[in-house]
Amino acid sequence: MAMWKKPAGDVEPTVHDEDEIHAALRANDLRRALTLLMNRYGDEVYRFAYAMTRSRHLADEVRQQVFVEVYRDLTGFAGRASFRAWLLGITRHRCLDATKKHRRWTNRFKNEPPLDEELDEHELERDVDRSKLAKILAACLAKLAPAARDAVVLRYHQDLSYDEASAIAGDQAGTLQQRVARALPVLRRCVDARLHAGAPR
Amino acid sequence: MTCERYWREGVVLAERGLDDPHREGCLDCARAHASRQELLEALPLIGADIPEDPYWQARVWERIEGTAARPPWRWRWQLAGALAAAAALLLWIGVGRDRSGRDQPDEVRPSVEVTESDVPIRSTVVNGNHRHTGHVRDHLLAKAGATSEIRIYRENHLVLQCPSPQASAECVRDPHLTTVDLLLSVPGTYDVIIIGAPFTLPPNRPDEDVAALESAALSYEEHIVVIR
Repeated sequence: MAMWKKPAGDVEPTVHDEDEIHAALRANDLRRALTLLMNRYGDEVYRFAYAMTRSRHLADEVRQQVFVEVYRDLTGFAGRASFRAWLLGITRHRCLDATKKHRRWTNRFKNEPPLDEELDEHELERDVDRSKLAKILAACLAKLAPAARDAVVLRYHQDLSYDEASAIAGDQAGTLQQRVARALPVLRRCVDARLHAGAPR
Repeated sequence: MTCERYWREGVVLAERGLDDPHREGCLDCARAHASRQELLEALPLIGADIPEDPYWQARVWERIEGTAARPPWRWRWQLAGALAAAAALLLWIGVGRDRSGRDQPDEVRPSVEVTESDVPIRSTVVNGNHRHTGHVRDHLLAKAGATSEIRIYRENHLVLQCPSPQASAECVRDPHLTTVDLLLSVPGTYDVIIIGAPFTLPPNRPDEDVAALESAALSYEEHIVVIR
């Protein structure tokens, strides 16, 4: 059984990072605070948005919106949640907005939705490596109901506890747990079907 | 017992962080548990292999500075409407004056073609929407009247504006015609907006441009070009 490692860039935030951001805020140096936040959480916000939207373009758009919004609201940041939870909460909302808007846009022009960045069939060989498995998983996640996808992504993509995920999603921790427990077999079946078919749909 | 039991009950226990004594003695359930673990370990990798965009922070700052410089939306729409009305009036006066003095060239009908070695290919109109497909290295040829403006976006980012403050080889304008000849070197969905009259609102995103054009009641044509 292959054992995957977490991506190399995924470093836990240190107290030092958070302190530096708070210090910049206290000094009313919003540009520095935003720069630190972007350096620290930019990749994470992007990957979260990608897992939620399955579109590089939308993820990029969401990330930019999130940090523009963060800059606007930095002075009002009360510190009740961590910066990470705050950012992920905003990202989640912007992802929901972006996917809705994207759906309206593509319906209007009857265009192929770039949301489904379908994999190149030739790219998928029998010997599935970890990045391919992650791509298949992304495709399968997109098939889940939004609430289930939310729960799985917050818990296992973002590695949040159910309590932390609950604060972001606004649902009870037990409800999220149930959703994840129900979603995992569906994901597994979807992944297996795609692996056996040799190409994602 | 089969692994169905695991996916029905064992996974709930695992999510709650509780022991599942049954799993110890059931090979199918142990396999199913390992399969769940594999899934969970692969989940954080979603999006991890996407190449880093070195300019994203610069774009955030650009947006922040742009937002600060812009008037609020309500004023922007009103301003756009007023400017569009003024532009339409000027155009009308200009056309009237020209018509009284000399013959006007025929109004150029806007057109968009995706061409491969100068041969038009794969253009269709689906449900009233102009839709074109093509391949990387094809050319996008757009033509419109001399007072028109052509904006081309790829995945919501402006690729070309014709005319634009900066001269570009792809944009040619003469007294009768505005022409764009763009080599499509990147795959993606391109949005071509041809605006029938001078439009003062700076390019933003195609959906926002379209909303502003509709709000200002200006004529425009939109083409979607999908390049694979």
